[in-house]
Amino acid sequence: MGYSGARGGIDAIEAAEKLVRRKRLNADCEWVSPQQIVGRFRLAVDRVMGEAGIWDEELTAIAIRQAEGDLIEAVHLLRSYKSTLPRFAYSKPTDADELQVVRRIVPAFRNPPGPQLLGRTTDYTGRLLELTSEQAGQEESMLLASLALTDDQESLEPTTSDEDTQPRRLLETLREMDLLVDRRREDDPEPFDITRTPARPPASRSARLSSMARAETGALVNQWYRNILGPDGYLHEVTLGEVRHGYLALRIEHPLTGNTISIGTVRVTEVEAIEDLNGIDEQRDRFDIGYGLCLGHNEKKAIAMANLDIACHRDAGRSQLEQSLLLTTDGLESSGFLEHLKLPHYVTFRSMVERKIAVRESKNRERSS
Amino acid sequence: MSAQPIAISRDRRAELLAAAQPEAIQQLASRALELSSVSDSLVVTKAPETGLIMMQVREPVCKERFYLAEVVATRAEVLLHDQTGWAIRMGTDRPTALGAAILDAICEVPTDEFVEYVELHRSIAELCAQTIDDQAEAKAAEWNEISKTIVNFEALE
Repeated sequence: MGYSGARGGIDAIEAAEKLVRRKRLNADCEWVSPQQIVGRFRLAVDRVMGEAGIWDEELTAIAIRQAEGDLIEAVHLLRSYKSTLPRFAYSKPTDADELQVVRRIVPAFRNPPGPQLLGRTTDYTGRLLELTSEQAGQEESMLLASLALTDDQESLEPTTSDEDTQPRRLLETLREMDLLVDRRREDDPEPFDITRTPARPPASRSARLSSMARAETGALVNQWYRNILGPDGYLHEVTLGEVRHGYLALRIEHPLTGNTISIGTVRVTEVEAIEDLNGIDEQRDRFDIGYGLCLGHNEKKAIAMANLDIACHRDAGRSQLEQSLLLTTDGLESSGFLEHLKLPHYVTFRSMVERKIAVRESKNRERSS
Repeated sequence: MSAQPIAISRDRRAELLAAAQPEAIQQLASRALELSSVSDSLVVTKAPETGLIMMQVREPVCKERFYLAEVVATRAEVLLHDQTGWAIRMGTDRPTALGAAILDAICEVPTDEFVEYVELHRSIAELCAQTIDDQAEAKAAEWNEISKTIVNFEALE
């Protein structure tokens, strides 16, 4: 072990590692394939991909399996793996307006442009723990599979106009109604790459968006909750414009033709949060919008991100919000610091004990004199 | 494979080979390698390599670009009768990336010089057409499921 202040223990450390490996590989149950993890635990896979900042469902499933379900440890494994890979390219910018939705709701507006598409959700139904037997569960699974087969044989409805799968945004409606602050930029600044340089305040908005897209979901939700209801005291009305889940194309330059090609899609969750401006120096006759976008299906994270994006913009560096976002919401950094506390701190603690004894002796001397 | 072969640009071919079924690509590449004019002349100039593409998105509020995350991809490059074949696919599947690069190179070799490639060209065009059909079918099937969830809530005044 190379930790400063302690050495040795190699045999015990290796035995402990072997114990983990053996118990994991020889668990008294069936082996779990990456496909099963992707198919059965899709939201965990999506969450880990987002927090690791990497899109690959199969690798993520392998990481979750190796981490025995510890999602932050899975993020650690993926970030480490990622650091061994070369960077081929920066993609061509994909306009978020191109998102092909499989779920889209507009909580703020009953009749937005395009459909209110609930998609795959249990948001509107009660959820109870299903204590059905394994056999009953498997029978239901087989029944659903046979019904799906029948559905497949029925003629598929002709899809989909662009209006359905790429609906116009509520923010465009608000713009047309002249109800929105116009923050569109003409200068097109280069984005900040947080994988190359740590983002520090004051940071560009692109750095904040990248940091939040990669942040730990729980940390971001907590930061949002603290900002909305907690000691930061920004209690205000929160309204969501858009909540979307869908596919975004990944485009790169073909090295031989020089043209832009699409090589596939990633799934993302996107949120727009409508902000009711009420500050003395703000346009109180208009709204502003916060934006959230993260990998996979992770609505909690995207909602928190959108609200914190606009909160950070309005805060303009007056409080410690931006610092908190940039420096404390990365799951790997925070849990890494926390986990290191388990390593031997003998020397540190011995010096603390010695200081206590020295203080006590000094006090005793003062009393006796 | 039942789709009719189609004429497509090199860019579109790269997109479709990036999305085609791995087994279909590997089968076609193996078939190509059975021809001595392919196996004797093929040079792998860049072995399949897995790496990252940083995905850049333009958001709608300020129209600013930002980096969302990195995507794992695997690319390969080959040379066949002085024609370069290149392919990239999302994921870590190296044999399929190499197979796609071989198919790309074959499509670049003129069939008037290598008539034995005519059939391969046709099969690759069929594969591309099949991939377009598969994508459309998958999209229609997905829409068929989710369109049932379109909702019109009533507002209580």
